[in-house]
Amino acid sequence: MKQYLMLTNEELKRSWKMIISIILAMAGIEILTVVGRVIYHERQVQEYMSYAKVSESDAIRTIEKLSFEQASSYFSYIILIGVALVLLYAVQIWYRDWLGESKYIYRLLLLPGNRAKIFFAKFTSLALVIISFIGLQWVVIQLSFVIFNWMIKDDYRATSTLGLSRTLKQLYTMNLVDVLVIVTLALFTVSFLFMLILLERSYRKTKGLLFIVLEVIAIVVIMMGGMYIIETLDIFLSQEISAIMIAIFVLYFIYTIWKSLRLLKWKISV
Amino acid sequence: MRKFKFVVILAVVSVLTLGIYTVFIQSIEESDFTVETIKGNPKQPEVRSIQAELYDNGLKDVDYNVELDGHVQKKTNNFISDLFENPSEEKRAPADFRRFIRSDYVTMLKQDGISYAMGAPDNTKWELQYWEEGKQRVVKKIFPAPAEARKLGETQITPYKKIGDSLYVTIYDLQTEVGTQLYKIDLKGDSIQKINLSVSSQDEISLLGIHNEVIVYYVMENINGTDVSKEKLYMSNGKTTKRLKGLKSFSNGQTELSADGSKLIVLEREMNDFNWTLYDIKTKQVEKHSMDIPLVTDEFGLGEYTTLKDGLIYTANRLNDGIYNVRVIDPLSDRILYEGNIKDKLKREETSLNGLVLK
Repeated sequence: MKQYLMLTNEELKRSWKMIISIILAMAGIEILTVVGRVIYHERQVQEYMSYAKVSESDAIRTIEKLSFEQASSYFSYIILIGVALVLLYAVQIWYRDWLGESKYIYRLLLLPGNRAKIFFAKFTSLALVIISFIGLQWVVIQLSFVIFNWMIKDDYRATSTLGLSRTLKQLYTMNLVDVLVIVTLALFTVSFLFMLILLERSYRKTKGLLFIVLEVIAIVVIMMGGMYIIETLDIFLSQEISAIMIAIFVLYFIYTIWKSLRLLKWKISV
Repeated sequence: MRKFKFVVILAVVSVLTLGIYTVFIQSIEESDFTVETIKGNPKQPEVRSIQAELYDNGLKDVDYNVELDGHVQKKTNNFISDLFENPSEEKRAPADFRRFIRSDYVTMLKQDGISYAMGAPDNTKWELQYWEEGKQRVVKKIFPAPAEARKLGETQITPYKKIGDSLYVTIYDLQTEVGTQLYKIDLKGDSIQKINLSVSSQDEISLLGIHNEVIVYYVMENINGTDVSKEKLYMSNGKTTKRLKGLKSFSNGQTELSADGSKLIVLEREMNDFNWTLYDIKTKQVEKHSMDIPLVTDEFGLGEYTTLKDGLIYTANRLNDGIYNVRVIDPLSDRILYEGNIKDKLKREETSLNGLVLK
């Protein structure tokens, strides 16, 4: 356990500067887009007033008041970039061990005890980054909302209550079960990527790529075939179909971890 | 602890930030409903079965079912519960019945707590299943399709109404969408009887009501060679058919035969215009009625729901300050049987009326 925690700590330490830089950059860009949107809206009103020679209230009526929902409309794109970066991190966390100058992977593989701890250390690092990412994004939304309310004039503001765009509402549904579902889906994606990377590292070059393609085909066949069989049989209730789909998902999740551990134990050699 | 510094920092950040999120979720205000009766008794049979469906479309999606005796059911959904919810399936029904009603060819009628599901898997037989709320027993019956129904292609059977031991069903050809036929199924004797409505095979009929074996319906008759169709109102006892004249625009709103079979009620609701027309089948006299309904339009929709069922008008309208006015009106006597206000103590603007559920 201690070795696993130390390895996890080591993984995070090695990426710490990158993680902090990305978090700060994303938070900074998000807050700046809100500030920019408020300034731009105010300028629009002022310009319309001088151009159309109308009062401020008439100009606001034409331009329309600004809500936080509109001011934070770019957040979903920035979050998407964050998701892409997390996926890249899931790839980088393995390849840096092989491709770095010090060939860190040899030290890891030669550690005494079960190699599973290497896998779970990297997996835990990703889990912590993902959960922090979701939590910190919420804090940034709250902070941006405070800044939005502080910057905007009362007459220019559509509503003083917090509103989220449709995409952000999908992520922050105000239900903790949904957070758990999102984290589980994210961890499944990480686990699937880990399996593909370890397949490539186990067999290398053409054979490795072939196995990756086979794994991807397998999951597509499982999904499409499952759906086809369910539709052809036409005997299941929608709740039963949901239960079957969840069962397939859980089994496949377990399979990806099992396969990765097997590859790490038997196929990857120093 | 220092050895795991980075793990601890991220773990603390995760717990703290998700904690902030949890506290925020807990702090979101939810509507608090009370019901104030203005007229009538919320326990009278016509009112007892009404539930107002209200949705909170704010940050936290909450569904409310408010009964007029003040009982409120609150429901929040999540990704998992959404996967296991299907409003079209009878949740409490036995699995066999639920499996039957999910077939494309099956249609359903809910009346007096019993769900009747009927369909024709092919044009040689008809399948009927019915189930009473709260019971596990499902009655299943298979009938050979009547000779005339077999002449149609792929047929859609729709249970229309149960009167006594008889279930009235309409069938029509799914491909041509015309040639509607009406049948009476004797649930005790397990027999099917066709009711002749003296319409041509090309006409599309709509039933307006059945009382004492007398069927009131209208026909959309195509004028030969044109795309124009004309609506004609009829009354039939299965042997003789009589044209009913004098009532205009009975297909624009909701039209229904009154419970005593003496009048047709035509309800027309448009924004603040709340009108209905009574047509006396014997005397052919037309009476116009209207009622003032307070209605506030808002950005979340009209906040209005009106329906005609079993000879009564049920209407719910959003007023100012989070108040939803509910009325049950007897259109024949022009009398409000019940009026009540559902009040949201928090006056949340995000909460909107979806409709009334009449169980």
